[in-house]
Amino acid sequence: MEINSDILNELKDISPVLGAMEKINVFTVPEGYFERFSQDILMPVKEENRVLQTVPSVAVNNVPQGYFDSLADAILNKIKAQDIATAELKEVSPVVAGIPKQNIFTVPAGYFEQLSDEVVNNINRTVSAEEELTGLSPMLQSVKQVNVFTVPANYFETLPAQISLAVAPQPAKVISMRRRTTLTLVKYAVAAIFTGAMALGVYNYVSPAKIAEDPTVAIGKQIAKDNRFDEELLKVTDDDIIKYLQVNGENIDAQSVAANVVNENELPSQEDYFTDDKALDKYLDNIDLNDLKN
Amino acid sequence: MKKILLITTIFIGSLFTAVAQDEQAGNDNNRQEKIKALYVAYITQQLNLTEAEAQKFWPLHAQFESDIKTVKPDLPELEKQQVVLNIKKKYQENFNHILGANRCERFFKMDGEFKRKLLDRIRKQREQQRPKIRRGV
Repeated sequence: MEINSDILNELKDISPVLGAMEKINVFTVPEGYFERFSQDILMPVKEENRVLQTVPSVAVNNVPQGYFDSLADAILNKIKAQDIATAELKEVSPVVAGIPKQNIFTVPAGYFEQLSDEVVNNINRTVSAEEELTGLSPMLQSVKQVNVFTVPANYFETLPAQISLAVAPQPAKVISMRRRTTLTLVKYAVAAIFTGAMALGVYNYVSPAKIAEDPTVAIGKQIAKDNRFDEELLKVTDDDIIKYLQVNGENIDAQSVAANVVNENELPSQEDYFTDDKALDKYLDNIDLNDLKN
Repeated sequence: MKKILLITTIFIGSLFTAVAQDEQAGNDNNRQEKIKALYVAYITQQLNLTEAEAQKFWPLHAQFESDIKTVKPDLPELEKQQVVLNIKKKYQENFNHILGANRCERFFKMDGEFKRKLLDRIRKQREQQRPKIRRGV
C-alpha cells in the first residue's frame, strides 16, 4: 500500500491532472452487448452479400441493343473525326505548326538523267603527274630531276688505302725514367712492416691461447687447485666488488644489497643499541643533518 | 718515396697508440678479471669440476654470461627478471649435459651464493674497521 501511495505521489508531481483522477474503470458496455455481439457482426456481412447478388443482373440489362456490335466503328470514327496530331502539335509548338507542308528542295531539270554520264566522264578525264604537280606546287615543278651529288674521280679506288693510313698507329711518346735502386729496398721494408702488422693483428685475434682457454678461467682453476680462494678474496677491494656486482648482479637483489652495504657503515652496530637505547633516534637525527648538508 | 715513409710512420704510430690505450683500460679490467677468476675458483671447488668438465663448462658459461648481459637494464623489473630466468632455463639443459642434473641445480644455487659471499666479505671487513661504539653517549 505504501508503494502504491508512493507511485501516486510521484504521479501527482509529474501530472496533477492525472493524479487527481479517481481510480475507476471509465469504459462501459451497453447491457446485453456481448449476448448480441456475434449477431451484430454477422449481420452486415449477410447484408453485403445480398447487395452483391443483385448488382450483375441490373447492369447487363441496362446496355442498349446492338451496343457492342457498333462499338468498334464508333471508336474508330471518333478518332478519325479529330485530327489529334495537328491539334497536339499546335498545342506543343505553334511555330512548327505554322510551317506550311511544302517541299523546299529543288533539282535542275533533267538532273538525274545526266548524272551517271557526268560521273563517268569525270572519271575518264586523265590528268598527268606533271599537270597535277604544277597545280599543287610550281616551286617543286621548277626543280629538275638531276643528281646533285658528285664524287671526286677515283674516290672509291683510293678509299681503303686512305682509311688504313689514318688508322695506322702513331709512334708512341717515349718518357725516360731513372733506375730505382734505392727505392727497391724501401719497398721491401714497407712490405715487411705491413705483413708484420697484419700478422700481429691476426695473432691477437686468433691467438692459440684464446682458443685453448680464457686466461681468467686458467687463473681461477689455479686458485681452486691451490685452495687459495678465501685468501684471494681478502685481497680484493670493496669498490671492485661493488662494481663487479653492479655489472654482473643480474638479479637486482644483489645490486640493492650492495647499495645497502655501502650505507650500512652509517648504521648503529648491535652494541650501540645495548649501550644506548636512543641509538636509533640519534642515527635518524644524523641522517636528517646529513641530508640538510647535502 | 716521402709519401710512403709518411704513411708507414702514421700506420705504425697508430698501432702503438692502440696498444697503449688497451693497457690503460686494462688496469681497471684486470681487477674485475680477478674477481671473475675468484668466481671460477669458487664454482670449480663447489662443483668439483674435473679438467674435462671445465673444458666444456667454461666456454658455455661465457656464452651464458654474455647472453645475460644483453638483457636491457631499463626493462620493468619483473620483465627483466623474467627474461633473465628464460635465459637461465635455456642454458639449464646444456649445463645438465655437462654437469648432470644434481650439480646443475647446485651451480645455479652457487652462482647466487658467490655474490652473497662477496657481500659477506665487504660486511666483515667493515665490521672489523668499525669501532665498537661509534657515537658517544
